[in-house]
Amino acid sequence: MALRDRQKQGHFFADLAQYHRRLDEALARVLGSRGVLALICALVLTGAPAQLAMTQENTLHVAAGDAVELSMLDREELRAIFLGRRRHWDDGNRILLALPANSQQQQALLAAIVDRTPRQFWAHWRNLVFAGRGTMPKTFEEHTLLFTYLEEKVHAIALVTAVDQAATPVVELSAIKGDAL
Amino acid sequence: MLNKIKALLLGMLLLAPAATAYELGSWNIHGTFSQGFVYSTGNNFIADSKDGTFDFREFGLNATTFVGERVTVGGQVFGRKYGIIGDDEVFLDWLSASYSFSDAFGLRAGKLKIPYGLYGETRDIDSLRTQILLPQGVYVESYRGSVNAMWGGQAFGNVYSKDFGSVDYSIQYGQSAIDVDSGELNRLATYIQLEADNVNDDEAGAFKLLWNTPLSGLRLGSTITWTAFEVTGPTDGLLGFPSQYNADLHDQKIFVTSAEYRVGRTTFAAEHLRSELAADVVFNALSALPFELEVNLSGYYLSVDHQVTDTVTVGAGYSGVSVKQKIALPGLQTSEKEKQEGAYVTLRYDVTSNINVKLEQHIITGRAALFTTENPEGIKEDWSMTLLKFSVVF
Repeated sequence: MALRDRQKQGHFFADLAQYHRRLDEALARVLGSRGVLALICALVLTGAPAQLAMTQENTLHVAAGDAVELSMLDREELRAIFLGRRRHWDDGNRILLALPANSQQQQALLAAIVDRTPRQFWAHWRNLVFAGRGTMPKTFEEHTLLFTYLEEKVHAIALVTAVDQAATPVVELSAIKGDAL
Repeated sequence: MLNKIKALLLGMLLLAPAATAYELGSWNIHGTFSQGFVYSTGNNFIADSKDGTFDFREFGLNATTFVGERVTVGGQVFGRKYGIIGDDEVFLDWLSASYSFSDAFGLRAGKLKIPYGLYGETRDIDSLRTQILLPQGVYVESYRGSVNAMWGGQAFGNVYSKDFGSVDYSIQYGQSAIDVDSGELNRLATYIQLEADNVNDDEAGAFKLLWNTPLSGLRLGSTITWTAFEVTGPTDGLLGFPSQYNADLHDQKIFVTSAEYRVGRTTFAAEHLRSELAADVVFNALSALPFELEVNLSGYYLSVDHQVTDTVTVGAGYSGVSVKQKIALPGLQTSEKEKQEGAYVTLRYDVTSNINVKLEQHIITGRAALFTTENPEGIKEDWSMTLLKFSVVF
């Protein structure tokens, strides 16, 4: 290693050590007081679920392949389905999940059904995937592609914000039983 | 090896924008790579961390496919560098085939992850959590290898009730799968100035119960794991002449009780650990003088994290562990107890949904779970750590 590189590395670690000491002192002051409690309280107070204003053209829907009887589902069952806890329909067929790729749409849909932000939702699914307990829901950049998927996969179910094809069973989320969206 | 890692990193970066998965025929492919930097004062948390070290990374590749409506087949390879542990060697993390008779009951066989608390099964995947280090009061790094995976069979399911929420359960039994080449056992053996160069796996089992309560966001759970294995190695370092020892770790039990409550963008978690380990150790050169080793751990943590914006998450926590070690020779008994407590704060920034960077600061008091071999100048009571980590997942 060249002398200049060693000097640079030495400066870097000296700076880091100085930063570290200052941070330690600051944290010790915070942790020594009631800082943690204050931090937790602040987090809780700002911890309201994400809500997006729903407009007429942004109404939330559940859409599904032909083999799915949407009228039989309520909100709790949808939650269990989209969190991967319920994986098979009553006839034994595997449930396939789909969502729009758009993060704004995901935010509204996921808040309504699973009460999670997209980051929380995908972290939940990645937990299942990397533990060998599931596969991720599919996402689609365009609604037409999503509805084509639902036509092909008759046991699939999706959360959507636009209704493109009358042939696919679709229910407005606000019409789902047992909930107050 | 460094070139392989660079290639893997480049591959991950190219694949990362591919949203939630990469599909290869009917297979869903996922991967992860994380590279960290650890700088500690007072003690080496991992080898050379007092000088600052980049020997802190993980990478894995995962593939799953469905066969018909009932069968799922999948596997994952993984590698890591954690100080002197791992050395970037790739190993089979899990490999299984499962058949679901219904959501409430299925059977799985293969190399199975061992359930351990709320986050043990996916502790390898840095991107899934806010913290860089899972709280050491419960997720003790020294135990990681012995509770990672086992070969065997599992019954699993999710029992759902509209009124009472749902319960995830699993019960599994088989043979432990300890990787002696990882260097982790060797690091542990240095506690009593030994080396570990061979492992004979013995029975292992685990039980998990996780109640997703009717109160949205509240999960309560418990895991119990037990493993047994036999370790052999040279005693040269301790006795000063060539010989072998045999340690029969016939009874390692770990109980973790867990609670997690997510309200909006904030998640609280608390877990408690109790573990018991008993071993009969025989030095071949001193076979008339066997001794018993008992190590009991008790630990806990409380944590909170809050997603401030779509890209920024902050976290904080407090964790503690106490280790009681007892060595009993005929007519002689010694015991020692060490503690460690610490607080941390974390800042996570999600560059994209697949890439994140984290900064974490720990302040720690106590000497437990530190190694004299990595701290030859002695272990200090008060110490601290700064960690920085970059992760990609797809």
